Amino acid sequence: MFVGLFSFWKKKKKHPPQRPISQLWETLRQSSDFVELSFIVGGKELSIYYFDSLVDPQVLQERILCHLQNDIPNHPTVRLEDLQQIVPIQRIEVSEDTALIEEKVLKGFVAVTFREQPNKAALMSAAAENLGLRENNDSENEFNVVGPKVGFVENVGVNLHLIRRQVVTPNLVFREMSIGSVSKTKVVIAYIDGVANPEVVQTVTQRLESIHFDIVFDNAILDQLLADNSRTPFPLFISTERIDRAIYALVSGQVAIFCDGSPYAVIGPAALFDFFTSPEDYYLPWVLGTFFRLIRFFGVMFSVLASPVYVAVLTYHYEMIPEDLLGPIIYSRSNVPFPPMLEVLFLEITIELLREAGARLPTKVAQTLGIVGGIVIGQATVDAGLASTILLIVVALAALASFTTPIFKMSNTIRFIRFPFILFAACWGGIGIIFAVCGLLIHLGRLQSFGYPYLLPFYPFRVRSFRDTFIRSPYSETAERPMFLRPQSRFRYDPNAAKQKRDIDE
Amino acid sequence: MRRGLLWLGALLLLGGCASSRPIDEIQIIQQMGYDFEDNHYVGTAVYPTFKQGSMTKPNMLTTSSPTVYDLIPRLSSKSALPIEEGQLRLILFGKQFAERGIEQITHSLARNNKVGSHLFLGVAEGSAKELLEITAKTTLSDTLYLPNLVKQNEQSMNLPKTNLHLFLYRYFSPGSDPFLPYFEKKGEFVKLEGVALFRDGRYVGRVSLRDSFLMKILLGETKNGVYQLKVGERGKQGEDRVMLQNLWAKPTYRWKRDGNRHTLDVSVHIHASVKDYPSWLDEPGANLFADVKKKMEKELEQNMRRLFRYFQEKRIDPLGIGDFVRSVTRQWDRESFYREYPDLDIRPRVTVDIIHTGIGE
Repeated sequence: MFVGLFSFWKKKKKHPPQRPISQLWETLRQSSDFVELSFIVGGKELSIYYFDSLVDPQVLQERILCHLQNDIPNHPTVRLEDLQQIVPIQRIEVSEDTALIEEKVLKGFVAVTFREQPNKAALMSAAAENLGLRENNDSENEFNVVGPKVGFVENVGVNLHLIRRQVVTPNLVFREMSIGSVSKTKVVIAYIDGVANPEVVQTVTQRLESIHFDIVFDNAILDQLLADNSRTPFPLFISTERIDRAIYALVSGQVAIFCDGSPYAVIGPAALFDFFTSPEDYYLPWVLGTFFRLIRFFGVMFSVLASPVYVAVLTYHYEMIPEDLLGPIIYSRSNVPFPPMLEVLFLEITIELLREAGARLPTKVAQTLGIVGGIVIGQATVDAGLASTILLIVVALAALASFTTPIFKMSNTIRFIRFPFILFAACWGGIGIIFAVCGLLIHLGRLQSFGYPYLLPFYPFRVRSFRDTFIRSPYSETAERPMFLRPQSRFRYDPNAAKQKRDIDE
Repeated sequence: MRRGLLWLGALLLLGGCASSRPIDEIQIIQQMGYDFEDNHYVGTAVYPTFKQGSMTKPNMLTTSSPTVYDLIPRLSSKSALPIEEGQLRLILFGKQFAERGIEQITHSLARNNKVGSHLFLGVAEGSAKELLEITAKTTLSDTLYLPNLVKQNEQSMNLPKTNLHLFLYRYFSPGSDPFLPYFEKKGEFVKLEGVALFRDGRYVGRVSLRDSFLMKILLGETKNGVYQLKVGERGKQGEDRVMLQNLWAKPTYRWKRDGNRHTLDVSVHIHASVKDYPSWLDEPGANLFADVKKKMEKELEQNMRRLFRYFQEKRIDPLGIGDFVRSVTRQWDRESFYREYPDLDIRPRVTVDIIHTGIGE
């Protein structure tokens, strides 16, 4: 009865004894939505089993029942294996494997059995794939002004369709597997054969195969289970709901993992700098793309370092305050009863609370909360003398800067690593900050994503791959794929044709 | 887990060792004055109390002590918060104090890592305390009146560049002597009156603000400064003078042996604009500026000669001639050079190029 739930026990046994198929039906009959139809058509006694809640009734009636009832009398000698001739449904499977039958029926297949073939069942897909799922996704969590707005949806079939529509090559390979002892989630590895390094593909496949888990709610769970280091706050794989981003990754030689029920694709191996690029960089002229990318890097640095530097300078290094800033800082701090660290922690945590509350509340309420929190609480905090005006600006700017990161997971990380920095700054001032930066760099240097160094192309240093890190080079320069991914083919498009100058007389 | 606890413990234990100085719990002094009166040293500290905008006011603390080192601890006994000197912008020495030597202070400043080397030093004609009192009393919201005054004059007027770093450089260098800005009290105001000259950290004399223009040029600072010159003998005072503004100048030193004696040729090339000039110079047709140029060159040369003479008499070398000579001499000997120095033949030669006449800026 709990075979499904405890199937990981089953796996420990070498060869589980085959249950008779009738026992399976006995188990399934406990659910009220399990339907069993038995009738006789043209002298043949047949039974149909399915889950009412999983099956599309229209398909069941028009494609299966209708044909079975009408056409079987014309074929008196029909066997289960011949049903494909009668029933207009793709990929009808006939199996004796009870486990397989169970899985398929639980996935929305209809099982047909004949009396004379008691241990076999023909499995026909009649699943209501999109029932209760979103039809489309406007990729609002990774919004771009320029560029396509279509995002991945929860249905993995749709996602694969979206990918294949743009990558029109037979080399695009989808490898399917099922993960989760209970959820039996369909997981698809996508890569471009001849571009992606086979070693990476093998690593990904191996790691996915070795996952033991019950229910895969979202790709994010796979992301964590696949990670090379589970203790790091840094995301080791990009997760995106944007199609263009996923395709760009495939074309560069990365591997994407899709998972049924999740509108996100997990892409790896990823380097730290991938998290700060946005597809929009590629839609704008390269000068602007580069500028915005640099702004983003600056935003990250500022976001991580602004409040720690405030703490360090105000607690230990008053010498380095410019003389014109001395007055405003001291004046605004004169009423604050806390040491700078508590003042900073107070405001930082207030902002984190606002953000967390804003994320949990319905959109309309969240907007109001943002205004109330941002304006009213901020102003009142300063008026009440709990924090200084200058700090309010610093913290607000730092929070703003952390939003510039295009990948949500990375922006969470940036929110988080600020706190150890503040602690170090409060304990040891500027030296503490340097210490924390060193610690961070050491940590980043040790991280790996599917076995590839996380700090590529900085460590190990790969000069040629810098074309697409800080600078978004023009397309005439980016024909070469980033070599640190060890792609199988070197160029994305003809580099010489891209560099050609088109003069007026041509 | 155990490693994590170890780290946390180390962090907390080591964190206790750092001495924190939260900015609102210290008394930041921005200016300091040292005087010597009646066999006692008098220390004056100016600290700002920051209020909103123009309400910010400088306040003063004064104390006296028989020794110099004791002054800051004694000031502390009058202050509610610990005194911190990390934001010092100016230290003013009374003339009497400066005559007794300022090494005690500069030596301690040289080793003080809190104080920036961009700190200004200065000499006050009377007492430094009086001068600081004047600046503290002014209703100007500027708590840094004197440092800003020095900065402004260095950047756009006649004062050669000085600060703690340059002072220490010239003080410790074997071939030059330090100098500092010199202030005087004029009624209710403080006025920059030139450059105070030092020998071995003791005040020995001064140069007027007008002559400090020549010093500035001879030191190789190429820009800025104004100089007024007499060019004619007609009528009233203001009518026969031109105002020269230095746009670009370059001194070239040449060390020569002339028989038994050494000579130093100093040729200075000045690109200057004539800012203001009497109306009679504007007569059409006449090329009067050629004449004016000659006169200027002559007068500048004469004044330079006078300036060199003065330095030689005082046996001081604020222009760093010793350093220059050392740079072109093998086995330069400080003793013998400065024995010869008062009798050194220094020959300044000035060429002036007048550009930008007519329209002012």
